[in-house]
Amino acid sequence: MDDDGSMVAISRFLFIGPVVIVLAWFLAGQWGLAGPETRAWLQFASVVCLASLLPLPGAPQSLSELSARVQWLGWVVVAGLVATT
Amino acid sequence: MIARQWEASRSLEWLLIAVTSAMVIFHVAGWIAAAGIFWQEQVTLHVPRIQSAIVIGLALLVLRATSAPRRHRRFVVLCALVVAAVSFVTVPLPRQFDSPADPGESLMPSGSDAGRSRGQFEDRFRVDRGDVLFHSHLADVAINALDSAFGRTETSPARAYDTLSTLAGLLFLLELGIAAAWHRWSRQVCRYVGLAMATPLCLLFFGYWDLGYLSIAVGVVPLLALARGRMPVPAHAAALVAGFLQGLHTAFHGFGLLSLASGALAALSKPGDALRRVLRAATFTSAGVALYLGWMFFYVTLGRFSLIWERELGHRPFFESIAFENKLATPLFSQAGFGEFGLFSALSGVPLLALALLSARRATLIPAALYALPGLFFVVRWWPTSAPFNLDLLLSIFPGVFAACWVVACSRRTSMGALLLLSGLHVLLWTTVGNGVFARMEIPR
Repeated sequence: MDDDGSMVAISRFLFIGPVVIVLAWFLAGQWGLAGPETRAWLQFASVVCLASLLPLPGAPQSLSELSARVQWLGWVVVAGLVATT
Repeated sequence: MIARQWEASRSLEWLLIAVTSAMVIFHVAGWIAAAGIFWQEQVTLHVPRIQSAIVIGLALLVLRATSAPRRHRRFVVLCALVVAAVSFVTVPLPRQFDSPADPGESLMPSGSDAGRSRGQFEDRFRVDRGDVLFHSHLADVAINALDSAFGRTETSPARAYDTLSTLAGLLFLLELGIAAAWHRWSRQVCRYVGLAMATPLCLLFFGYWDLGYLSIAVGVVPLLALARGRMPVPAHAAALVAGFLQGLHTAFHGFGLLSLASGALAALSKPGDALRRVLRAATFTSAGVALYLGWMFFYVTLGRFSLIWERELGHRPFFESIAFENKLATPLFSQAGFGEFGLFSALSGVPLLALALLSARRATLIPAALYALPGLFFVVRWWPTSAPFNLDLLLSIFPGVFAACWVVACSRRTSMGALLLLSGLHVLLWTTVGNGVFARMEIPR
């Protein structure tokens, strides 16, 4: 794989990775077993993600900006999930 | 002559900044002592609960919207205020902290006692027997009226507390809305709305059962900023409305006297000549006192009530431990006492003032420093008897946090920094209540 191809693969992994991890966590039925801290973390993270990604009137954001934000927030959510479980 | 006056005024301003900075450095030392105690006691971090997430999320939305044109940011701010109002009712605070280590810890001990027992409620609120406690006279009358409206049953005290908290939350949001509209939805005021909503104090509007937080008037700081404007009539009107608001909140709870003193000092700051500044401060103070004490006339003539004073304010000793209400007050100059002071200072929002001092220009800092000074001194000496669970008082002893919000709201960058700092304070708050740090020990009789 050339340099450009590997960069694209890394970028896709960074973008999709957290979504896959969180989805797998839910599908494995971990929400039912989670303690109050994990639940609180996921509630907190989902509200902040929503507030951070929601499109606002008059404040356009570019796709690259949105993608960078999703990557960054996604990995923070995963890190918090690991820390609280 | 003019040059000499200008020199004297400049020296005074520097002196004020120096005193405020020295006080903030003293508070920073307290935060370091508190961090040391957290480390020693191996305190576990607790994630902020959903109520914190809601206010921080709404604040983030509002801060993001401030770069948009005026009509768009007005729309976003109004939506955020409405969502906050709905969530105050639909997502109430838990009565007990759901910590695995101590699942029974109450978040609002004194309110829980009065809210759950008819007898204790009637012991605390004696308006029916003709007695009104002076320190929270208007809140006593209001909660008694709500209890009466709900039929004076076993469950009506709880409903009265919940409704009072919601009404206080609506007043908080209304004040923010009025201030934003009066400032014509400027970027600074919109950022202020966001930051004020993100303060830990806002959590108490999700159904906190106590009264101390009713003393905070969030609209005063932006209105006093208008009162320092060039046009005399709107400036005078803004000072008058700010005074009325602060007086109303002080009538709800006497801790508002701190904000009244803060506002009067801030009203003395520039611009304007000495006479104009004194008139501004007099307008604010007289309006405040009128709405703080004016109710007495109605209590005596219409209600035939007696006013009673039975509050003893706990003060922190400097060197020797003393007992208050059967609890031991550790001295300020001891590791535990200094750490405790540092924690309460951080929770009340002093770190935001430190951020404002580091990031703003001197001219914008003067009114904020004047507004913050009474609270900075008060936090040092105040010793709360049921800390760390009397959040209503802990989160409202430093009204200067709103002056700091106003200063940092000048720019988008400092506002984002302040929001990050406020999120950290939410973590600190939930960690403190979750671990029961500095919980009071009863002295055996």
